[in-house]
Amino acid sequence: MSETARLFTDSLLTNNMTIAYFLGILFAVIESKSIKNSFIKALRFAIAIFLVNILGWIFNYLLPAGYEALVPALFFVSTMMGISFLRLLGELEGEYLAMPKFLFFLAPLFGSQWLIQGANYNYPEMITSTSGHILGFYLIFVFTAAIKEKVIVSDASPVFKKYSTVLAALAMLAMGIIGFHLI
Amino acid sequence: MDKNLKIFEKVLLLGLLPLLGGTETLIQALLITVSTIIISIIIFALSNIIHEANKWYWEVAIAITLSYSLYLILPKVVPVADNIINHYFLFLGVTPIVYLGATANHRKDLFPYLSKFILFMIIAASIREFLGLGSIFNIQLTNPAYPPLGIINKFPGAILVISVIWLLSNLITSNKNLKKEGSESLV
Repeated sequence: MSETARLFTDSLLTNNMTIAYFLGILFAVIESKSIKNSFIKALRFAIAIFLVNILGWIFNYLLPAGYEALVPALFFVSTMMGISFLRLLGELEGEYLAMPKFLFFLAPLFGSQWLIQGANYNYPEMITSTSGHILGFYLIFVFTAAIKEKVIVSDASPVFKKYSTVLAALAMLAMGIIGFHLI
Repeated sequence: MDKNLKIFEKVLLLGLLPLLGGTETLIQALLITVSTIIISIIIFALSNIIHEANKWYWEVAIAITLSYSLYLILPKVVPVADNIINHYFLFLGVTPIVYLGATANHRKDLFPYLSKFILFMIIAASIREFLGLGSIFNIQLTNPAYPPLGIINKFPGAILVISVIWLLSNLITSNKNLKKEGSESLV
């Protein structure tokens, strides 16, 4: 397997930003409602993560040496641009638990930039890794919607029709993903 | 699923990121919990001062600054922290639980959430450190090469432990409710 293919599959599976780094797991759990509408919804969020990662990488690349302490500030700016982009698309409107919904999408936008920055990738590597990350996020978002839909319509006791069951199902998925470490 | 969420469920949802990423060891969990409380209280104090329409953006900027400062300062202040400070300390600034203070009208509203968060962090970290590493507070209790259940210290284990804690909390509260209903019907 070539280095690029290895980087892509690692970002998609063993270093999946949603399952391995928990970035966006909360958002996927609360925001995915049904499989039907999650395909387009997840695509919008994945595009936002992709664009923000490119922007964050460019900001970081252009930053002069010795100003590394400003990296979180730059990532905050690119994160806010991502939030604005999603709001233009009609997403992240309203509140959840008395907080604006955009607060719940900060972690995947900000965190994925930090992961990319930490790995010190060049441009092609960053694009490859980000592509793996967003595909991983997209799949987990759609899987979570499917799990939630199945849990809600099941005949189980109401105590099992909760987020704990969704998380348990995601844990089983994670067990499968960690198996790829062995390959 | 979002209907009638109890306080502990809200805490588990809002604090999911530190609960999953910051509970590999008890010391790490305690440090991340203290950092969360410090940031939450500062955000709570600031939310009473900032009354702008864009106050949330200011609060996010402040929370990220605070979490980044703690991420840099903690390894220098706490000697044992050097190996256990991970990027989840920095991600506290983008974790919804630190913004609870901005929605609370009074500090009494904040206390039940933070106390439950502390409890869940300690429980999750104790389980993960003991089963995943065979130690408690870095004191090795089992053979280091053979932890009771090594996968618990990795990412699938983190999700599994939180889901089990959540499920048990749900079962306990639903049993309590059933008992209450039962005693009321007897009366």
